[in-house]
Amino acid sequence: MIQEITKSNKALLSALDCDEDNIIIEGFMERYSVNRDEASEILQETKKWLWLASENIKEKKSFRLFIDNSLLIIDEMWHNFILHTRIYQKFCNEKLNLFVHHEPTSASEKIRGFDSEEEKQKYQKFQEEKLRQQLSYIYDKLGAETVSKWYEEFPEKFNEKKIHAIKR
Amino acid sequence: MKTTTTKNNSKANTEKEQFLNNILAKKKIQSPTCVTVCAVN
Repeated sequence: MIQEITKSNKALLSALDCDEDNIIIEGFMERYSVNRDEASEILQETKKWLWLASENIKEKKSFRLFIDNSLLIIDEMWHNFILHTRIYQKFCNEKLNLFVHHEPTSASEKIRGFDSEEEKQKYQKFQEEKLRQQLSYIYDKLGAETVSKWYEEFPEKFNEKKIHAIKR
Repeated sequence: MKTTTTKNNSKANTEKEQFLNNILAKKKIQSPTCVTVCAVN
């Protein structure tokens, strides 16, 4: 059923609904100074992200989804979700039929040096293409509203500095 | 009928391209923080 859902975020979220959502939400509220509605919304968006990641794998796409600075708050909720190992495993097994692993980018990969301006531009062009591909995939599967929430609303509301400030 | 469908698809693609271009134009391209890796059970 879940596989057939595209662009219908409400139906998707209903399909991804879990009995233990409150435990995850309360865990996040213990670690970050956000209210219940905010934590609940971030969890919903994180579940959509995980569903999309599983779809990306099942469809054998040539690219893997990545989290960059725009999606940091989803990454934070994902970390919080993973802490509850049994619930996370159950969610992956029952809702996604796939265990979605989290693989951080190493520090050496993040801090890149370039031998020339040409090499730097080439790398940036490559990153831009990867991002365009990902945005297009999100748009096709979840619609413009989700792209806007993840890449406009969330970075504004929860940028790196703000996330640091709300950490308890 | 077929022409109308093609035109509608083309319009939708243009709207999508414009929407994504706007987002990309505002965004500073950065290295990924993490990637998703999946293991099929």
